[in-house]
Amino acid sequence: VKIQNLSDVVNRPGSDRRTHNADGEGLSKMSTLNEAIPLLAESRPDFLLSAVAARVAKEWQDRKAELLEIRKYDADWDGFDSAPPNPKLVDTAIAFLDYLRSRILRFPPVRVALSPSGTISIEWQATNGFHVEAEVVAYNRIEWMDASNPQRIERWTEILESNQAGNPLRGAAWQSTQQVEADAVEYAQAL
Amino acid sequence: LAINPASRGRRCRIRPSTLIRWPWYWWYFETDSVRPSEFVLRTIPSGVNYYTPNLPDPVSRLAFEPMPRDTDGLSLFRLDFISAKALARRSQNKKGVYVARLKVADILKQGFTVEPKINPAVPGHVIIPELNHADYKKQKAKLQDQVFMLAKLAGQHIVVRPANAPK
Repeated sequence: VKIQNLSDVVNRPGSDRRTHNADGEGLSKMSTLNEAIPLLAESRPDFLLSAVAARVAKEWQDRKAELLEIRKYDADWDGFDSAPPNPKLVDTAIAFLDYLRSRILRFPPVRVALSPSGTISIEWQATNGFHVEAEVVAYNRIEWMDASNPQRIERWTEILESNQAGNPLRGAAWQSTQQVEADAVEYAQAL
Repeated sequence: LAINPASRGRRCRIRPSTLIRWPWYWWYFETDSVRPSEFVLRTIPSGVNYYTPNLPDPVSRLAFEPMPRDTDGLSLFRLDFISAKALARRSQNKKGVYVARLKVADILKQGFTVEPKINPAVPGHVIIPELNHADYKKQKAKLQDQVFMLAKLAGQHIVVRPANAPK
């Protein structure tokens, strides 16, 4: 399984890359994800089975359910007196997850978690050492980390311009949840 | 020997590995400097996705991120002074904790130091002073890389799991 290209496509230019509105340059780059990643789907014949497609869809649903669970955390959620999460930041993470789902449907994250400092981490891993994390640190800012090569960990920042203060949380850059779920059904049926 | 046991903290546990390293274990106190050959323990809260057993890197780096209360450094505990099970029992976490074991030499290799710091409630308390909350916020990128490596190492040796946790 060769999937190291995820980070190349998501964001690797060495400087901040900005995600623009739906017709903007940023999104058109993001839309190439499915073409650029040699996906698990293509390396596993059994992936063609609809049951596996359903499993992938379930993975996305599980991550979203975990974020919704995180949103409910009270103070002392980790047993070490940590402060409760900021609901708006969790909502940003949920919206970002929906956005990712629309772009890399066949590659769901394997873990989401709340950090002691209140940021939210979304994580991808594979058995070949592939390890990428996206950390939602602000309403409009995602910090990416590619630790696939532990000797040369790379990081970069993505600015969600549509999510600046004053704009609606789910800005034009992100598809609605309904649209994303409809895409997932269509994808599963296509398999 | 001009030693005041009260100021040197508690003595180490009597166990074969301590006796091998410290034949004079009776003079081995928790304020004594931490040796590279020692093992330390880190508690990882359960139920918050910091440990996922079926992943290649089961421990999230967030388990090693300093909390706001970690003003002087990240807390660990010396295996020579408290067992992993006893440490898990003493945790105030209602959902229970996982306990990871790390070799001090591996921590030092990441560029950290490990210093004793007496905690009246739990014996064998040590800290990684570089991983204090204020410095972590200032040098997040640099320290995050090192923390990631600690989490990777910790994932190889989970020595205690909560009673109802998946294996």
